[in-house]
Amino acid sequence: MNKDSPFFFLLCLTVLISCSKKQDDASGEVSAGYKVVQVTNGGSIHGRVTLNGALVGLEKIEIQKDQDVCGGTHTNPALPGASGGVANCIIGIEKITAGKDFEKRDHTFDQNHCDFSPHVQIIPLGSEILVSNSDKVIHNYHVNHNGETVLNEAQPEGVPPREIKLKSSGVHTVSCDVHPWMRGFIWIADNPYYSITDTSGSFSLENVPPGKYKLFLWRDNWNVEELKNGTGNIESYRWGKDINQEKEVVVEDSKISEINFIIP
Amino acid sequence: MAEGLHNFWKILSVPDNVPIVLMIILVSFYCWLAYKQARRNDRQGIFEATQSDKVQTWPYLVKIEFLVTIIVLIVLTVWAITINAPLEEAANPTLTPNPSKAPWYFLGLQEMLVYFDPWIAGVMLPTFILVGLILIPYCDPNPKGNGYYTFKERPFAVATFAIGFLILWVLLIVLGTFMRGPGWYYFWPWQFWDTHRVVALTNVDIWEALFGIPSKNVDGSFNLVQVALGGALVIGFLVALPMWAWNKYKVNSGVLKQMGPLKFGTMAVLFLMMAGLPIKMFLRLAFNIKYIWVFGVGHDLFFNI
Amino acid sequence: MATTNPNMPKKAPWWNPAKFFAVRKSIPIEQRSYTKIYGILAMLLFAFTVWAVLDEVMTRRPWKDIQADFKEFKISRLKLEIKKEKAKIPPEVRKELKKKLAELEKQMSSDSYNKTLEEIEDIQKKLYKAQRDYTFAKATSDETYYYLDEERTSHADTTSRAKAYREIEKEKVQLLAVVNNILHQDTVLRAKITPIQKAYKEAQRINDSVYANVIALQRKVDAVEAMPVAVKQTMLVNYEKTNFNNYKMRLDRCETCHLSYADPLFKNDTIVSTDKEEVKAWLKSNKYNDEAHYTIKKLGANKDTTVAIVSALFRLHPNVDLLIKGHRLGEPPAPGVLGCTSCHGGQGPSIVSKEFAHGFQMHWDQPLLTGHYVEASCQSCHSGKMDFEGAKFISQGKKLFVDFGCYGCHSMPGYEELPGQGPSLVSITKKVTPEWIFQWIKDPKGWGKGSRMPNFMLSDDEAKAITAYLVDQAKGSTYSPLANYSGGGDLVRGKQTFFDAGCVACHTIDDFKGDPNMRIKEGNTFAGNFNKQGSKVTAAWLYDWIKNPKNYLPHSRMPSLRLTDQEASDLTAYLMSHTGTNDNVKTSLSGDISSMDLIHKGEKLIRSYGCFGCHEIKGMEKEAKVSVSLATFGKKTPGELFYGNVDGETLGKFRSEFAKEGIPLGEVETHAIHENQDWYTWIIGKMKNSRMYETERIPQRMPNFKMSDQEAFSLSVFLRSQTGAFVPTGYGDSKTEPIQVGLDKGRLFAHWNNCVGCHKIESAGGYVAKYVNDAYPGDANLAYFAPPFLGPEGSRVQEQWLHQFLSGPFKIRPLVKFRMPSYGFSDGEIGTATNYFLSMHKRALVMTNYDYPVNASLIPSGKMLFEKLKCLSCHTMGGSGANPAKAPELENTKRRLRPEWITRWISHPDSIMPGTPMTSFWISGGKFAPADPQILNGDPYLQVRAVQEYLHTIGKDAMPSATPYATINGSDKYILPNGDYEAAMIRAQMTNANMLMNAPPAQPKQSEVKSKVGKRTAMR
Repeated sequence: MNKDSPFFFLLCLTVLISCSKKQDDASGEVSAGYKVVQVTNGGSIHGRVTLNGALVGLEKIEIQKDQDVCGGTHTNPALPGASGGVANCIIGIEKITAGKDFEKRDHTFDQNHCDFSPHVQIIPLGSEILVSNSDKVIHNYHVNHNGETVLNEAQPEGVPPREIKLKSSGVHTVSCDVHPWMRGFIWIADNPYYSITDTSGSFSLENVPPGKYKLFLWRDNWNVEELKNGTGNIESYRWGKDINQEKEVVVEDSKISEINFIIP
Repeated sequence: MAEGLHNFWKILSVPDNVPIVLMIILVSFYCWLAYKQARRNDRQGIFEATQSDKVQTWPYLVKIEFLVTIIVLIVLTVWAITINAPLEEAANPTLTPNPSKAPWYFLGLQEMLVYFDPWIAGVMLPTFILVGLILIPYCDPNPKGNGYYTFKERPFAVATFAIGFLILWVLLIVLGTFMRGPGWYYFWPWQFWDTHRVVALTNVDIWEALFGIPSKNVDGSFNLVQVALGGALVIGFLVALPMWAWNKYKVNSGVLKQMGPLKFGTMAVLFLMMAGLPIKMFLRLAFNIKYIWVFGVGHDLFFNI
Repeated sequence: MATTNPNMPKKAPWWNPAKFFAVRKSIPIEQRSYTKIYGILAMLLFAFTVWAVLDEVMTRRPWKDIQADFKEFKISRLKLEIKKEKAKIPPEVRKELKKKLAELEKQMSSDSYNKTLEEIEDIQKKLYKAQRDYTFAKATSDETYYYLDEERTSHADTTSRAKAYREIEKEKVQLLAVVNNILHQDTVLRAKITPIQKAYKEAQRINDSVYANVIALQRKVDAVEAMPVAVKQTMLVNYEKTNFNNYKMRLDRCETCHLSYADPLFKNDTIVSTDKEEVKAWLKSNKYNDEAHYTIKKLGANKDTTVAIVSALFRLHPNVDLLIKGHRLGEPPAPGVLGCTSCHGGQGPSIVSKEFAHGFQMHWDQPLLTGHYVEASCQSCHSGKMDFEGAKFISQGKKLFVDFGCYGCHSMPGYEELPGQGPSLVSITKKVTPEWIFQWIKDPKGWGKGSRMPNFMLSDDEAKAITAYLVDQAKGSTYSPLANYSGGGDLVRGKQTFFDAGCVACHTIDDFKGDPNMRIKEGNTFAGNFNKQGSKVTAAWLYDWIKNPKNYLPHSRMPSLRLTDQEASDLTAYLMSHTGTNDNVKTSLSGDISSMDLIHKGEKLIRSYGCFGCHEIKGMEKEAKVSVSLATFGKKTPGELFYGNVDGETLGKFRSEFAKEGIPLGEVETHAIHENQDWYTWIIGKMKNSRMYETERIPQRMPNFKMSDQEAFSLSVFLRSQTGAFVPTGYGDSKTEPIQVGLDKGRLFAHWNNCVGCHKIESAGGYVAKYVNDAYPGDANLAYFAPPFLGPEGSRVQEQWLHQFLSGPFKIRPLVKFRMPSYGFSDGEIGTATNYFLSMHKRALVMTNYDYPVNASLIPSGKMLFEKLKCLSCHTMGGSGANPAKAPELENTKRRLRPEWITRWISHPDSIMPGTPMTSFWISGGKFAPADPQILNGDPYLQVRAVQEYLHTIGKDAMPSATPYATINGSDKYILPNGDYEAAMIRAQMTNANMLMNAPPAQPKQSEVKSKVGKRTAMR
């Protein structure tokens, strides 16, 4: 390229910025973090999550609040499809030190018709999430990470969307104190080897470095009971325990390894 | 045993005891040297030195003295490099070290405290030591006062030196350094210096030991019989003995004639006092005799001898 | 003149001393030669002098080598950083920069360029000459003019002078022209090269900015190279006191060797990597060629991660944060404030060798505190603290000292007023049978594993005698149950009540499978373990006890949980159903225990064992502590400790054992006469087996607590801290300053009454939360179930309200699972608690009237916000609103909360109470922002303020009335701490009234509130 072109200066400047940025997280190098490397001979893991036995759990959850916005009843977002495949399961490899790069995309988290959409999503550690409220009523996203509130902010109607960042990896349960039936899940992933099962319950992890891994499954329980008091007012909703499973999987050079989960 | 000896070696080798070890060697060496030279010297007899036997102090003596200076310097340097200063923990008024010992040159006096009351061991006897040292030249009647040094020629002087310096001073320092452990108890070299050692204290006053006469009555007053006996013995030892000796020998002993009663008396009392100390020590160590004479005036003045 | 002996050889053979001296003697003094001897001695003296110097400057200054090492090491580390920095710059950029610079330099070294430079040089020379000529000409012209002028005024003839002047003027002009001409040439020439120079400068600038980090690091390298080899020391004037009680300076030279203790560069004292090559390279680049510098570890599930850890000498202080924040040492932490030895011990001034510097030598009485024993130092300044962050063992040890009731027999400063740890025995027979007493005192831990009552190793006769006395002294007891157990009760409901009422906060029925550390589990092991309750007490007693503890023990710590008769009988049934097994109990009580001799024997035994240290026993109220004071136990020397007949090996076992446990005993100087006879081993032995050093001559009475290794260790750390060391003023926590005293008393109070069991107050507490989380997994309201965090209480609630609440607690948070028990606190105790809360916020207890004139203009918008933000979806107002109510009733806020608190709280709850279920309405993306863009034209400060004003207007003036202490046989009972029943509620309300009357009305300033909010948010 031409030496005196402004492009050259721009390039230098960008380098400058990037350098100074790197300077910050240079301290983090002590921890054995995830290393992005070129995966040439990666294999892949394919599989399906199916439901064993009958589907128990409420189709519709009764609502006694803000019916004008939320409606009288509310379809249980956690229910898996009737197809026998279980949607919205998170499949992932937890302990992996090096592999492919994260795919860059924007992450949104909307509060719509008194429900969080998407119901379950995976977000790379350290990336921003755009939270919006498209309802004509106040919501708050009460983010809970293994038993502790990590974030709890209200978003009244008409307040512009805002970006939030979750610091620790793992599952975060989001609930709304105004509308206690609302429940969403954000999985903060420290590596890109995660996938959510589709409606048919199938998933796939691509470009995995060969090796032996622990593959795990997580899913929120769709079993919900409405805790009513004497007068028939719903006091609270109690959800079943989250579903967790784990399986060993061996990935070989650019081969596909099949592995299936069955719930429960 | 083994542990004890190991411990004893430790005690010998601690920096601040090294000089004492040296002292043993040096004192014995110089005594030997002194007596050797004394014998030779006495054999020669006195002679008047002629001019031709003399040499100039400068340079011939100074030369040698300077030589010695250098040697001493060398020794001190090596000592300073190889042995660290024997520092101990910071002084603490609330915490007395055990054993707590006087500086090495006073260990003799400290040893005396075992056998006598503080005011006797710490005040009276030291005073007499000084007085005695001052008086010696005035009391010494020996015409061969200078020029002759062997025991044969000067039995009294040499004996005094042997008892007074070698035993009562040097020996006691050595004992105090190496044999007196925690609680100022006596330890043999093979015994371990145990802080928790227990020693039976079974000393009795001499008259109780001999005739069962206690030093004090039940009401705490002095037992007069004992006071009398003790007084008699002490005074007899210090006064009667010299007088008797004077009467017996004054006729046919030239020395006594020369001295006369006063000099003789002084000398005798001083000498007996000096000799009395080892006697008392012997009585204590051999027969657990505590006191010979227990007598007091008022509340503060005691003759516990 | 002495004559010489001719037939004696002059030569003295030095190899044979005897002959040598003989010969020398034969030589007359005048003729003896000393040259050789002098020569030799002089040489020796010189040699030894040299030795002395070397010894002084090398042997006795090991730190010089260390500093040299460090320099090398640090530079190598910096070099590594430089490499990293360079690597961050993309190669093409580096290449580009290099290329550009190179090519510019090429241009600048071309012949044409150099030629131009030379020409410029010549021009310069010419210019100089020309300018000089011109100036000279000018000077001459001036002179000429002067004379010309003179002649004019004196009317002399000026023709020649005027001529000369004209000429010189002409010449001047010519010369000037020359100069200008040269200057012009110069500019022309320069114009040729300036662009290249400019370009080069620019390229350089870019280069530097791209490599900025690298250059900075390079500067550091230079600085290190310039670092002088010198002793580094901290002087703390009047920092300590000598044994003669006069002030003394402390001198710490630790930094002389520990150079990297505050150097962030050494933060990464380890490298973690999956491939060994990288580790090797790292070690190599850091000059770690010998094992002394590092250790290698394998980590990870399948040991695939290699870690190299740098030796301690070249490391950053492990928790440098504690140094900086905790001890105000600034950034980077300068030891100037505390020094090193004040926490770590050791011989500060000494630098001649590691042993000396660390104080591991005879006669140094503060050797380095190794391992966790350094925690002991926290205590010497913060004597009142109960929980030290990052110092687990000292905290645990302190609590154990209280929980084991050590202070009952040993006097210890700070624990004088504490009542006995054990329950009163004056009515013991009303609670348990003589049989049980006997079995219990024989072997408490055998009866119940969780017991903290120690084993006195009593013989059957002794136990019998003590039982006899206890039974006898209880004869006078006037106790009779007020609440009568009518039988019945449901086990399942009982179990639920055991949880819901909050018994779980202090009690458990779990035996932890005999875990040796069960007694130091936080939370539910605080009080009695119920897994054998059924075979201990009678149902009748238990029922009355849980209904109304003050009836049996007026001074008990056991609070009333305001149980209904139903709950009480359920609970009784549930607890009585746990009878457990008595397999551990060997002997049993036999024969008559009413004989007078037996009773007297028992009394003697009790007096000698000092049971009254922990228990209230009739006839022994005014006994002194039976054992020695521990005030300065931490600095006892081995000589002062008695080892009985225990030999070195036995003691040695403890050392190795604890090292295996991962809690090694403190290091000691090695020249000790008896092996392993040191402080640490002694105390550990004593803790593990209290009668260990007993001999037949010297009996010991201390009972055996059967401590686990961890218990013993923690206690030893605490005891180590008891040195009575002098703390210079301004360093330690004050013992007189009211705020600090309030804090310290409160901390003990909170531990003593196990407030921390339910509530997180300072750094620790709230242990019940985990039980709740286990009990209600997945419940949408889980966040509301645990008892609240009390850290902010002091700036949250009004004093009057707090007093009212503590004298008769009432429900505030509807969903909290446990009920706040009624302790029946005295005014004094309530004061302690109140002061504690206030002191945490540096407040003194001042009764204030929190009424203030409302700013009416804000009310409407306040109401709007209140509705818009749906406050009532969690809160209730006058009972209506959220259903179920999750959060406190808002009508009560007027009398409960401080106005300025409300503004602070609602503007950023999460930063005040991390993890609170309260929603942040005015936070957007971590910043203080309007909750609604329209209302009050989106000024968040005014919005917050408006809501607060609105809350004040809707507030009730009446305060909730204090709840009864207990309801017995249908009638409410209020109680005073002396045990007699009375209408304490009335008292409480009266005091409130007085407070209000006496209190000066306070006007919270709007601006102040605003600025507060502003500051907080600015900080975040």
